[in-house]
Amino acid sequence: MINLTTSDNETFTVDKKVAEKSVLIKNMLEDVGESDQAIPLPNVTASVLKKVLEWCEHHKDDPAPPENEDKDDTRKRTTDISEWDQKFIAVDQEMLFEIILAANYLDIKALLDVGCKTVANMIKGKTPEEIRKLFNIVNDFTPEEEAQIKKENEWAEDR
Amino acid sequence: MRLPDEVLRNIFLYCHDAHAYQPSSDQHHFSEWKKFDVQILTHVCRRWRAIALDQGYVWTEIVLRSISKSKECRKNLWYTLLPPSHLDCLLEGSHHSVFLNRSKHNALNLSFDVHVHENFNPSMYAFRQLLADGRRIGRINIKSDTTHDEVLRQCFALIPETLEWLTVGRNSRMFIGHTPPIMNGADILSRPWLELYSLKLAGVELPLHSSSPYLPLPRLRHLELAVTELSEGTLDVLYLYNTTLELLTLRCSGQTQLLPPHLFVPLPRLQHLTLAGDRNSLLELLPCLRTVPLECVDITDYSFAHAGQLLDEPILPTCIATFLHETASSLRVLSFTSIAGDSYTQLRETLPTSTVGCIRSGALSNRLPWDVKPPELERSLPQFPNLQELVATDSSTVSSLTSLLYCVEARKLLYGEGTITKPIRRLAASGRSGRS
Repeated sequence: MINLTTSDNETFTVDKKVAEKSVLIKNMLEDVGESDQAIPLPNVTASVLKKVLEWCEHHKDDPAPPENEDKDDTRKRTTDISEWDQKFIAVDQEMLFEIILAANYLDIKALLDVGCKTVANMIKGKTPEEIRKLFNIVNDFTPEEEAQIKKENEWAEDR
Repeated sequence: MRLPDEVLRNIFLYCHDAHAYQPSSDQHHFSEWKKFDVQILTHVCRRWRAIALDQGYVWTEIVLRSISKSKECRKNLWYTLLPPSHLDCLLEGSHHSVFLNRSKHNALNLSFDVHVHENFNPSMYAFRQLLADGRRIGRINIKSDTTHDEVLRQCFALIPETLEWLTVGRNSRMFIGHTPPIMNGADILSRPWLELYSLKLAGVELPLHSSSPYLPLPRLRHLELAVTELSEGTLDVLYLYNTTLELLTLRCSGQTQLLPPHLFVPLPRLQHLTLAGDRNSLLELLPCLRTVPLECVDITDYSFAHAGQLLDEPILPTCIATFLHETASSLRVLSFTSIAGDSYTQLRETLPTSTVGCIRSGALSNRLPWDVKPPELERSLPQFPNLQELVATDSSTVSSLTSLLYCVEARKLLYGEGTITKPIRRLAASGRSGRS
């Protein structure tokens, strides 16, 4: 079993196989070796780590992704998400972003992909204004940039 | 949005390959699924724009198509003064140059439509130009018809050897006065596209004795063939590429020449198999295929769509059961469309069905709604203990979903009776018309 300590000083005891879904933790364990000391995770809060570990537990027996997957950008990506993952990621936007950030920090590629697909699914079909509203993004374009964008839109229409 | 740039880049990659549903804006337009417009990503804020413009891969989709002068002229009256060819170059040129510049050095994905009654010369010019400029091409998707075979041949002659994905859709179109079709498999399979990973051919005939020898494609993983006639020539192609194939789709819309009984094709890496054809085609083809344990099998019988009624003969289900018995010990997805008879029950004795997690089922025509013929599926539920997903492939969405709900209820009863089965957790309808 492995102990993990979150940024808000909560300690989780988890199965090594579950914890090693995180490449960061796996590498740390390999570097440090067997130890009773808790691994500090200063960028993850307890509430988020609880969710992440729930995902790791469910997927602990999944086969490892092919190593060359990242290098091949010509394969089509799908935004399909498995049913269990859909339910898992059906959280408020704040928690969704926290899970994505944690997956990125802990280097859990499959979980990061679930988060990214979810955000991509939220984006598709929306106008720029709707996207800004959804994610609370400020329109910071200068008038000149706005004019350029308007011009781009003219030839992009109906294509 | 406080996500770091590398995460946002990843999200944009998923957006790039996504399709979005566009509801009808008024009564003159149909709602439809459209490819996500990556331009939207550059119109949100400065940070998004910078990240999207920096990511060449999302700008690699180039669609070469003809221009409607009348539509463009309505937008800008000055265009009415231009000769048509100048207008084509002006509009498509500006569009393509933006995408080309933004795509940087990434391999391009080209879509090219060659239609009758449309001026495809500017598209052909752009196609030549792109290849002459030495741009790397990853995918090409060409839609054409039999009256433009010469244009297709010119395209094929230009395509570089590094091509990875090729899709050719060639519709049959015969007019009096036109030259007869001149293209077949040799025009494609005799070219040295050694990097080809995926090949989809529709409407390209594959004669047994090709005019020039087919070349090996050592990286080919996905092969999809839609032919009007299934013959030894088709099997010859399978035999040539059999060792690397992981996904195979064969659709035969017409007749089948009798295949020699001794002929069979080993497919040692195949995981997904899709077969569609009339009864005779399927009966001829299934015994010819030797696969290792498959993950997904999808079989469609066109016969009843031709005959107008379902022929309730057990011969095809028996043939399928025999095939699956030898190949399907790790089957996860089982898909039958318009397969008559007690298909699922026949599998009981011959197939280890405990691995099946998803069943797709339905009929090709709404002349045979499920509520007229109770699905055999409901009766055979106990033999699929790990089944969790049911998908209706009927053209009628509501009636098929209603039938699926009966299956869910039947499954609950099984659970109540103490049978160890997983509950059905997902229902879906992929009907083509979506009518109730």
